[in-house]
Amino acid sequence: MENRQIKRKISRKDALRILGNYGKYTAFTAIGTYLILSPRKAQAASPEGPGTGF
Amino acid sequence: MRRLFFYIANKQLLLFFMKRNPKFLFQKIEDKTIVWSEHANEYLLLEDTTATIIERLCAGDSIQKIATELAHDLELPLDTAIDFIVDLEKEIKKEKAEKTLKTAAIATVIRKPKLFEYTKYYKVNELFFKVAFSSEYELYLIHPKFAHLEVASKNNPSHTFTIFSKNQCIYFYVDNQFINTWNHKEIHFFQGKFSMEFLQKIHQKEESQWLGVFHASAVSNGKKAVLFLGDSGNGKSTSLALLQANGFACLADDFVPVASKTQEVYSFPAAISIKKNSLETLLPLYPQLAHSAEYHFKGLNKIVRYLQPNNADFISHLPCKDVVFIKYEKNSDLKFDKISKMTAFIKLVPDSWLSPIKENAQLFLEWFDGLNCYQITYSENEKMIATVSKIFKNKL
Repeated sequence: MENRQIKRKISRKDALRILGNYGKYTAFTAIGTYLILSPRKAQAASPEGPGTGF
Repeated sequence: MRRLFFYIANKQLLLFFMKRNPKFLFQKIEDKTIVWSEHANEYLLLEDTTATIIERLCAGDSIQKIATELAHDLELPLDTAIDFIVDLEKEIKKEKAEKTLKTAAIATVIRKPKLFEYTKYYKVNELFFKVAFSSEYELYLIHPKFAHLEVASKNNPSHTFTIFSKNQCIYFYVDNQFINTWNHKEIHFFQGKFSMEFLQKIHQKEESQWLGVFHASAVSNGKKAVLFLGDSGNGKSTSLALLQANGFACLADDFVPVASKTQEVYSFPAAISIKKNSLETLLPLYPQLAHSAEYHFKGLNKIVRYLQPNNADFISHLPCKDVVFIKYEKNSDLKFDKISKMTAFIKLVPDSWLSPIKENAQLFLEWFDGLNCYQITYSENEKMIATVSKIFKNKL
């Protein structure tokens, strides 16, 4: 089977441009990444059901 | 451009209201900012830049102004910055489909049963509670945890709690006032509410005077309290039982209330639930466990016995500056680390009831900011007790 490799050549200038954009969007991604925490809306006991005898 | 105008025109009205009545609280913790939103009672963990954007929106800065500066700082196209801010605002203002526990209107027409099969009397400090249970089912939901408080019948109880079931729902009244009704599948919320009502009567503080109730164990040395947290099955209650056999007092187990005014942990008189697999460890310390009633929670594959707390002073309340995430792990060496507040916050909040009142949320954030957060993994009890003693003595 023929082993084909696709090579894509880009110039140093293009590479820096792409990396530069990537770095920029990394910072943007960071500020857009957040976590929402919801506390319980009512008091609760540990989930234990009713007993079935002793 | 038209899109921008549309956003800005709509936002001006919104910003007017936001400015007049800010609905957010901001607390910088470590390298992040926690933002509390009043309309959802939610805590957002944000990068400082993002929190500043919300803060500026609240202060009345225009989206265009904020977006222009953001676009400049991050070298972004202006449109991208505007989209980000608009999306952020949508997210923080999104109405959540809240799973509120419905107060059934039918409660007003539900008639209490004439016969209550069980009536128990409990004494806490100088208060007498009469609790009427319509059947064995309701009795087992509450009584095992409070059986150690039981006294002989009393003519003039301080408060009367009434509990009965109808149509697969449980109904709860305090001093003849309807509190709420829960489906039998939500029974842990009923148990939580019972504890909350009990707590309010014991300490004479309304629900609005508590900043939160934590799913934890609280241990004291008479001067201060330390909170122990961890997932169910990690050994919170066992650790508490070990500590109370070694000179410490149990302030509360499973249901740990913190008052808003003092930010102190208050005692709660429920018994400590001991799982069957902890019995071997605890029997030498508590021989009475050999003869205590055993309860089977089949659905949860749990078998527990209840251990009376060694603290009979249910008025006590103490400051708390330390929280410990504790885990029993077979054959583990003792691991003890200080952990980041953010890690602790992420673990703590989803498992807690936190007051939805803005002033209380502010006090909670300030209290949390002052906490030291630790993690202990252990298998040898003596080493765990020695480490906890050091926390109490500030000798770490």
